[in-house]
Amino acid sequence: VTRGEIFTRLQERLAVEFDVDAQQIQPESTFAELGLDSIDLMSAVMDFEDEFDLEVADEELQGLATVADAVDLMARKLSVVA
Amino acid sequence: MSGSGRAVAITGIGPVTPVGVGVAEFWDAIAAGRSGAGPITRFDATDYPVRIAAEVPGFDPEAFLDRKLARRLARFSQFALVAAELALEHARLDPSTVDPARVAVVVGTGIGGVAEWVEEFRVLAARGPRRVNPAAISLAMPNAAAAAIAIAHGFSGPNEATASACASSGHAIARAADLIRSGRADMAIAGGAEAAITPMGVAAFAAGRTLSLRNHEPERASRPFDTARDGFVLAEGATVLVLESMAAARARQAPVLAELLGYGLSCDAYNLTAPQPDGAAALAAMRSACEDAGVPPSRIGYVNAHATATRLGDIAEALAIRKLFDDQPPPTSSTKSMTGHLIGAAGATEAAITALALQAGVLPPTINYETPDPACDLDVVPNRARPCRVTVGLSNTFGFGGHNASLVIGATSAGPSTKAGGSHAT
Repeated sequence: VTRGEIFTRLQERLAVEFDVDAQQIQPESTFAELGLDSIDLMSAVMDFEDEFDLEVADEELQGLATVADAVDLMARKLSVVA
Repeated sequence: MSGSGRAVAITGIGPVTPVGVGVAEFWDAIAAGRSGAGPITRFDATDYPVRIAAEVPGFDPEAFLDRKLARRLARFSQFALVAAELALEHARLDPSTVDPARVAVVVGTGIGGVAEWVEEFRVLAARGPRRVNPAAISLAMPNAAAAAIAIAHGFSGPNEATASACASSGHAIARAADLIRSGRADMAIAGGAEAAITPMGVAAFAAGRTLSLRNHEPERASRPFDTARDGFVLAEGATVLVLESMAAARARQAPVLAELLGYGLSCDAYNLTAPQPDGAAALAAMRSACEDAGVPPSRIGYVNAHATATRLGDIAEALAIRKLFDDQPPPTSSTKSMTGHLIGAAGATEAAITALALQAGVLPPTINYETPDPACDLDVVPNRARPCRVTVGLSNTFGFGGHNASLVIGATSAGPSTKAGGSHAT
């Protein structure tokens, strides 16, 4: 997977799961701006853990504020080279 | 504690029930004697001893609620939130026009989000603790319905859930009345919700031998006071009422549908499931409700009985009703014959029916009343509604654990004072 693919999948998933307009979901969007609370974020992370077969530790979620932060985290976990 | 000036206005009714969603559809079905029971469709019940229930047909929460919100709520909370929307609309109450800090929300449930909890247990068992839904607690907790209603409208007054099994929403209405009478709130959104037609819910109620096994004829299965009764039909749904102080209702020129005149509460202190055989505590609750309302039993012209169609429960309640009225009981019906047993939503559903019956001058029937049980010696309104002007009604709701709640409901201006039009002056 590429970083771009991770972003696209995240965008699709958030749009469907949380009823957010896909166009609104940009790398710089914060989860708060998208109307997602911490429970939503946890649910989204769990979906990604399933989809990519990886585990995200709670500490890794600290400071996760924007969609780009989440893409970075996933890319790191999947060892995607930028 | 009795006396005037304690009546609480009922200004809105929101039913989400097996026989109808919204007052018009709901009351039409009740007055026509239609059953809401049918084969279970919520899950494959082929291997279950009980394969019938009263489901809310075609309930689509997303037709009423924001999709994201709907998905974060258990089915019982979805029912409650939709019922609250309908009740506010019925009360012609625009939430943005009231002080939200003066609006209380009290919604009871018997078992809350049991379906969702069991579903998460499946995930836990199959995939381990890290896969459990982070929203599991907030889905399943019994107070989620009351919280969701507050969140939807910003109602920031007192907010809680009552839990007394099948009496839960009787207690919710009593609690709401207290909050209004004591001046802690001007209005209350009060009622109950239940969604227990799930594999675990049906299996557990069936294991307790409480449900009718009349699988081949679901519409005839709920038979309160009938000799051939064999248990209740499990139902789901929610009913929410808008209650207001008479002053608040008058100030906004609200339509007052009926008045909650008083309530009485008691406990059998006898057994977790079986009712006290002579109904003594149930009788105490009814007497206490009359005293609280300042209305002697002789003024009560209609009883909406709790009668679920269990052998022991119906007899105990009938004995208590006969005693309350010195062996001259007024017309009585068990509308569970039509709606099935909504468990934590039963009390509010039946309080709503009682209020609507007074308003319409029509006493709802007890359907499937074909072979009267001589041990339930009451004037049961049989099979067809009976036109009858009644000014005060009594609605009983009793629960596992021996919890009893009785509500006295009056037609508009049927308060403690018998002087026409003078009931709220003092």
